[in-house]
Amino acid sequence: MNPDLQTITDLFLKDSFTRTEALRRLRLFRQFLTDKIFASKPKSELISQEDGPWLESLASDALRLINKDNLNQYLDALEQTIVDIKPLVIFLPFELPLGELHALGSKIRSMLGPKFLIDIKLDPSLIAGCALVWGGVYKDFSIKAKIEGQRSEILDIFKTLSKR
Amino acid sequence: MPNLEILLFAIAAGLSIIFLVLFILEQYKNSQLKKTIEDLTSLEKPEKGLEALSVAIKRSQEIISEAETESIKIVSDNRHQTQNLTKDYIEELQNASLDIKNQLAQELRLSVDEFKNYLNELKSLTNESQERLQNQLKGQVNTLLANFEQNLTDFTQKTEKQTTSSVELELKSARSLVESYKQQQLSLVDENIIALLEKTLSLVLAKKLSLKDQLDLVYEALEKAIADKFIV
Repeated sequence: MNPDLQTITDLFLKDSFTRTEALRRLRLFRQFLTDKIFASKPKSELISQEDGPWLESLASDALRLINKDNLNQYLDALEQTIVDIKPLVIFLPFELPLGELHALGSKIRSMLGPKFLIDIKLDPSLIAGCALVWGGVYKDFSIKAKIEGQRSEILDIFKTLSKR
Repeated sequence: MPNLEILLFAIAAGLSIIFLVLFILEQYKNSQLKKTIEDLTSLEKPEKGLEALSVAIKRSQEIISEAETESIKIVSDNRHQTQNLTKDYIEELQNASLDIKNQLAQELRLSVDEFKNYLNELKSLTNESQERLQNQLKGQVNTLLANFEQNLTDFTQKTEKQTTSSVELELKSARSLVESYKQQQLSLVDENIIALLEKTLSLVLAKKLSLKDQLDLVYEALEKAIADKFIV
């Protein structure tokens, strides 16, 4: 991979932990850079408060490497890189706040490596814990799975209690 | 009957003898007359001829009278013989008729006796045959009854086995159905218990577990997934 593209990719993925977020931010980044390079004034009204600082920080670094000639080439390559990353799908029984999402993403990257994306999905039936999908394989690590795993023991306890 | 034939034969023989005698006499007279004519024709003199003729006529008259006498005698004898023969014939006929009657009566008695014997034999044979047939019929009926009894026993046993088997199958099926229903109900109860537990835990843990606790469980799950090499 081109070192410049590698640098841009690392910078981009540094604070983007989910694939959805990464693709959304790429779209904003593309718009932001296009405006920066080709327009006299960026359309800041489309950028949220959460994304603003991140974009400004990223753009200041990226603009040292990206110009009007390689803008589309780099951004297309960046998009392809994001699409090619195999995400870890995490089913959670609760809604995760954005801050905690970043904490979770950081934790996972500390465990599994920097170029790692997750995909968060909601499944309240899991009760607690989570279920994971990796490479198309689903595995349940939730309380629900533990209950199912110890179903016979639980039922025996209930039957014993009911006999009393 | 043989006597009647002998009688008829005797009559025929008598008549034949009579006709033979008459025929001989006639031949004799003809020869005498021929001789007389020859004697007359041989005479040379008419006187002698006349004398001879008269002698001849006389002689012929004598012959004729003798012949007539003879014939009358013969006829009389014949008539007498015929009467005798007729009488004999009638007697013989009566005797023959009586014999025949007696014979017929005897033969009839014999025939009746034979017929009676035949009937008795036939009766005995019929009785014997009837007895034999009855015995055979009895044997066949006994065999048939024995076979029927055996077949009936076999059929009854087979039917009993089939019925028993069918009932056992029905019972097995019913038991299986009951067991299946029981298992289904128990499984349903188990499902309800687990669903109730899950619902309770879901409600309780949602209130009791903090976000940190939830995330700790997530991190624990991730570490377990890495340890299990689920995520490579």
